[in-house]
Amino acid sequence: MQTIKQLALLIKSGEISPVDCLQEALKKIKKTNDKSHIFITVCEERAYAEAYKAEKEISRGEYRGPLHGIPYTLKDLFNTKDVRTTGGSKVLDDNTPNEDARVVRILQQKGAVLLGKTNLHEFAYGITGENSHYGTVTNPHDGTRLAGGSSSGSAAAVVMGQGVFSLGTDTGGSIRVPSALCGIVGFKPTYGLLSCEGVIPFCWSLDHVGILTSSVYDSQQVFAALAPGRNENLSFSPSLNGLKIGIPETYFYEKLDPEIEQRLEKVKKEIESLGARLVSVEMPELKNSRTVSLVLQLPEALSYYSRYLEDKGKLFGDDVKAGLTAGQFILAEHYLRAKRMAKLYRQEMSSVFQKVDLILTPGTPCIAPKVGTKTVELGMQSEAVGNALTRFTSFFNITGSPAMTIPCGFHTKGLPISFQLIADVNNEETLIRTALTLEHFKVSDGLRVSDSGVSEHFTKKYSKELQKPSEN
Amino acid sequence: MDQFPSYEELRGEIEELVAPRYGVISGFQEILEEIKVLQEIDLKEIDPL
Repeated sequence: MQTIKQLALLIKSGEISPVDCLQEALKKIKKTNDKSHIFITVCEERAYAEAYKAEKEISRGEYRGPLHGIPYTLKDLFNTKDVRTTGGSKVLDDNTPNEDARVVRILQQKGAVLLGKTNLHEFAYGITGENSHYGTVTNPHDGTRLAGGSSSGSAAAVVMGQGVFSLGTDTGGSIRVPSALCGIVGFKPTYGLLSCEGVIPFCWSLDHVGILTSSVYDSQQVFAALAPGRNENLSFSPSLNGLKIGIPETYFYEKLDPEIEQRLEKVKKEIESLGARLVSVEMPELKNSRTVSLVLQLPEALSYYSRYLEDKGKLFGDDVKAGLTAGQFILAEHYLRAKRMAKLYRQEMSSVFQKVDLILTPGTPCIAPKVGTKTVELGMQSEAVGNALTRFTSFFNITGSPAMTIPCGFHTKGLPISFQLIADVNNEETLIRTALTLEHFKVSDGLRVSDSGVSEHFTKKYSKELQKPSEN
Repeated sequence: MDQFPSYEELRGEIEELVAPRYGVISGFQEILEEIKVLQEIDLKEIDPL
């Protein structure tokens, strides 16, 4: 797994060319994609054009910044000019946009190289990443388990070194959950901060564009490129003195895998040792928040996707069709009540952030479940897998708060554990600076990476494929 | 159901919604019950904007 921090230095100095980087990434993709299903479309022609252009510019001394020549991927919801954009659905199997999404245009201006379009839960309509049309992306650390979704391919691509970073979308946890389950950094900035223009929607009220990377440093680099003028020169701090971090009194530390609970206790102690004060905080009443989220999602999704029902309705997957059907029965009064509840939550969270700078929660209550799992057992209770995985993330889509999941070690079953930091809306600065500090002092604990740049587990799983001579 | 302006293309799914046989649609009854709970919350003057 390579990082922007490492590669940008080598590219800028001319030690590595963007074309070499691209070829290396393409080799990895070709060797594993039949099994991994990470990519729906690899855009080799466009990638080579962008890489050669970057190489020429850099050799002429026209270096554009840390993303210049860096290969990256996009969840297949982002429109890409002349490159198929399926949304992970057969409904859009032949959809080729004539314009890039706005964030893609920005990345192109920064000189980044688009490798391809990654797999996802169909139209982002689920958190497991299971996709009956294009195959299910499994967890790079254990191929019998879920990568999480909906940005499943984006998370796995970063772990596999198939692109150094990826852009995804997050409506209830779709960036943060797969990042947490795969052991990378998932960042959802404040609602609306990164443009959704040219991104296939799922729920306008809750959709956020965000970033998947292997480190907080890299996440900051991509964020600075996409939101110019905001937090461009942030660095870690020598301590966390004066910082108040809220620990929710209820809900977020309940029904947890015991090893995740233990790991979070360790993180809390390490944060305190860096000078931050942990403060117990009363959160808004969260028991209805899942319903609020669903009552917004179901009719908004139907409102957008109904355009395809007449001609292509049969091509939707069963779970998407079920959601669209349910969306018909949410009344306007229900929807408006959910919108009012969302406003109440935002007001209440604003009060919480008068008392603390950040909130700390686990990323997910459990490690990556097995593929096909319907329910998980937590705290002696059975819970639908989708509800469990989004239990700590979806509320912050309703409030629009910036939130980041950061890996902090491994479970004894060999799967990553993550924590989540949440800040007040538009306070990315405190969030990123703290996360950079935790990364610097190694409170976060990223992937175990082998010399080949691929996670140890994946190296074992795909050892035969990785040893094959390249076809190029 | 004939009176309800639903999508023709989703009609086949409605039966599953009302009396699930395949388990494709689950939890819809639960959502309806939860919506009732939302309706009992006093939101005072809060607007939806």
